[in-house]
Amino acid sequence: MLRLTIVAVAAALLAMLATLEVVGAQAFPPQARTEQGDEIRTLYMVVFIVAAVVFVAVEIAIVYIIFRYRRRGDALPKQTHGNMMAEVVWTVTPAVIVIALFVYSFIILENVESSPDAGEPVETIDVLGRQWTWAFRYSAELNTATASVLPEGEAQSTLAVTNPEAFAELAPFTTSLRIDVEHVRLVEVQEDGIVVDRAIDGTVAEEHPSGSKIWLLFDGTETRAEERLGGLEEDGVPTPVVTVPIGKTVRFNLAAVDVIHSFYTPEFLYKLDLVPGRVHAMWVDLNEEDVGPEGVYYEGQCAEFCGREHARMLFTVHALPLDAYTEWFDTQLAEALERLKPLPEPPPGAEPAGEAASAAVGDPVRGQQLFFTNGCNVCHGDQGEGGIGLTIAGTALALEEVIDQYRNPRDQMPVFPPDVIPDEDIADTYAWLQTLPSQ
Amino acid sequence: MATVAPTAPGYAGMRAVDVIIEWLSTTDHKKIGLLYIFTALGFALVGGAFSLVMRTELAQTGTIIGDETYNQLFTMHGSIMLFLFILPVAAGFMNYIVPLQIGAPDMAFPRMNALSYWMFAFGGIMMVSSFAFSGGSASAGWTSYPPVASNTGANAQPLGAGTDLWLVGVVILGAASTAGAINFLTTIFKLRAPGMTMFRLPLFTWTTLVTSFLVLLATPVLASALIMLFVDRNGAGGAFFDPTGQGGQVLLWQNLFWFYSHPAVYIMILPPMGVVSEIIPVFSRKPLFGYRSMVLAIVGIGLLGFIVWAHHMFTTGGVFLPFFMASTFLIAVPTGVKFFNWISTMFRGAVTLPTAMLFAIGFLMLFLIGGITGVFHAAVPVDFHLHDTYFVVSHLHYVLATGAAFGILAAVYFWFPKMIGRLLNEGLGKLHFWSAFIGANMLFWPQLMLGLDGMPRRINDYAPYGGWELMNLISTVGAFVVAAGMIPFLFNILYSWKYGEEAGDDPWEANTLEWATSSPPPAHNFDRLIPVKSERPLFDHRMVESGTGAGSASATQPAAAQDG
Repeated sequence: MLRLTIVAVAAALLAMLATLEVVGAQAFPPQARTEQGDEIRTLYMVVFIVAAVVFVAVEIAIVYIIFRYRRRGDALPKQTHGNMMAEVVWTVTPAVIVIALFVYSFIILENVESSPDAGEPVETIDVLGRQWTWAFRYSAELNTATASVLPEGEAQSTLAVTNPEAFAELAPFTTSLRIDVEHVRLVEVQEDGIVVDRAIDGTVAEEHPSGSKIWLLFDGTETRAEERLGGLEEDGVPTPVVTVPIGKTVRFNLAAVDVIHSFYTPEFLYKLDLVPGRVHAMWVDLNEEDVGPEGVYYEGQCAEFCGREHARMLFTVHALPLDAYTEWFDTQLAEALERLKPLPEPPPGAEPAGEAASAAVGDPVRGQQLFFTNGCNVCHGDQGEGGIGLTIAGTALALEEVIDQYRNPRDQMPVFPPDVIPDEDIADTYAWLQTLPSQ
Repeated sequence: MATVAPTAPGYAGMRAVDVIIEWLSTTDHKKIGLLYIFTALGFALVGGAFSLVMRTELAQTGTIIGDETYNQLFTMHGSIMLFLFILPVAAGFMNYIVPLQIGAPDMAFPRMNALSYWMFAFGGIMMVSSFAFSGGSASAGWTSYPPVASNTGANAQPLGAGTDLWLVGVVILGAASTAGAINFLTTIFKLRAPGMTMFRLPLFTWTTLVTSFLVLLATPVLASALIMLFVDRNGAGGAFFDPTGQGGQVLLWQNLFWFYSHPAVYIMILPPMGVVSEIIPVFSRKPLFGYRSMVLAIVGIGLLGFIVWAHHMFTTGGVFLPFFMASTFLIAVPTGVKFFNWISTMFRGAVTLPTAMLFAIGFLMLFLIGGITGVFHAAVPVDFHLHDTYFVVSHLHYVLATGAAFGILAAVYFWFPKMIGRLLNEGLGKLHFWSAFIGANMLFWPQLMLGLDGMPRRINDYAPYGGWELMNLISTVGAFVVAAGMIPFLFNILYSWKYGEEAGDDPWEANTLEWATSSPPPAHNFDRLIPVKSERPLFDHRMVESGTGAGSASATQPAAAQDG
């Protein structure tokens, strides 16, 4: 009988594996596309084998026993109350198994979470989650660093820098910078330093020592107008794309603007939450081989429930071979630098905002500042050129219609009530948008 | 004889209104137990109906009910099934059965017992009534994570009054179950019959004891978190969970919430484990194998249950992963011990398979899947992939639906004859079991595969390609199979209540004291107590009554060496 059971267990195990094979890859995680994902998948397979053996053995034992020891008459079976030896064995055996699994999982965890050695080249990409979309920001070398301590928590700070010329061609307010993992906005360029606004998005105002490198941040403008979900194309909102290199370590800095989100790409077998008030680092090494210069796409989406349109908080990972990525990066950077050029001087005779500036005729200079301090640029682009949100440069809408859109958005745009952004501020931003060429 | 419900004779001369007043004002643990059980079953039908709507939405791509309704439904499905079904229905069985099992005339504090029930009913109605308010019910998930559940800070979709009703409702439910826990602990410690030592307590009573400790220690933490969130939401100067500038911590909620809600998983699964530990020995005609190691496993699960909460937070980047990974792996050990003991109890037994036993075996076969899939989540790197996907949804339903709820259904079939005096119909019961068993696997097994493939939970729509349609469709069909099985079950209860076969005192040849009184028991429970000399007093009593006539096996002395 025992031999029969063992044969049955083995047969059932084989049948189960064969069924899984027929059903296809859904019985296992997707093929991993990162080194970290490969490690996780290996661990999954080990856990799966242990689990499958335990599962099949226990199920067979239950079914076998209820058929073999069915009641056949009134004789009372032997009243055994226990067996110390057996109980010790089946306490110790699972303990040994789970301790072994723990040790192996711990080793894999160390590998998955390990950061690269100092000096190894790393591509840093900042991921900002907001209800219900993503912004991806890339960092360009600026050849400058802080020359004074940037203290923690200040809303606006003046900062000495090693190379102020680096900021000469960058427009105030439109330009975002990164110091460590904090994002700051360039407000003013001074003789030997800069003034920056802090806490401009989900990143936290931390202390940075003198000598911290300053990076230029720019938004990727690539989107993908694919029909991931029925509702998307009706709203005209394309899926944001994060472009990443294959063969170079990528560091994602994850920050949330509003609520908790989770950055999940199934083919990385990896997710990490974006938690308001924190910045998390996630390291991945993409390793898919034989990818052409056009690259490959992996689909991802928010994995932590984040409110009404959580299901539609999608993104796409566009993985490019390293040289194609470098080319893409340089093109995007050049475009960004063009966008970030300072505005020409206002035409002579233009009145600065004052008593005369009514709600109907706004102040474009203030409007531009508000555009960035209110975070409009995150979705609509630094020049209103669009991105996650619609193109709004030189909008043909009337001011009243624009105000109505703030108050009662027709799409995914968040609601901005009057106590958050008053009508006068909208009029100013509207005036600035009118100075931009419509596209 | 068949025209009068067995519970009715006492009311023969009473007007209907007096019967109603009698039930509304009762402090009898048995009536309160029945009130709990039937109120909870009523809530379960509502929560179950919500799940059918959700599965219908997910059967195909595209949306039918839209995201806001969907979010309300999954929030209330989870809240109802956990707070208004599994916890209170278990409390109902504890109420009814525990005093009988220990030979007590009632609970220690009968009026506080009634208060617990009415707080539960009031809190539950409050929570469900939120659908009537503008903005609908709570819609932040049963976990209600801020900032989604906040209406402050940068949250773009502040939730309305439904969330406040949810918070207050859960506080009231927490108060109800805390009062209940104090009551159970006092009852078990102080009202045991002579001879009923701690190591002769039936296993269901043991699980009640440990569960009550968990409730008592964990619930205040949840209550404080709920009140903090209420203060945050209602402009009372709180910013406990608001990180924007005032020093609040978003993750604080998750720590507090799971410090309750993980022990709550054991609060929900231990009593059904106790039920199964009662049923399997009866229908194997053997004592429970390894009684003491069973008790130790229950206590061990209870203790370990307090140090694993952060395994719900592995992907938050805010917890110390190795510690919680180790403790989570370890909790598999006492659970494994219980499995071995249950199986060994049946081994070389004389197994019969009435519906109660079928559900107990269904519990073993399917809760096993819930336990094993838990090991995948314990391995942190694997959880990085599986967290918040349908794999978790499947895992928790194998634990709570085919685990806890199957245990509850086994309890219904097992103790209905005691409570009502009549047996449930076996044919209808088996129809119910097989549709539940097959339907639940159709429902939840495909969800494991969806999760492995990366389908997140709590979404109302998914892409029309990528291979998720077939599995979702199978899952939806499974949900309707389970629902169809509820029809014979409900009919069976109504029918057998009046026309079922009369049960007698002890229809199952059971072991514990509740079967040593009439069915249903008199108001004072026992006219005469039989002596308690082991964990199977009624078995011993039968042996004594029948002399040595029970066959050669009776040579094994009933009061075994184990019972100290």
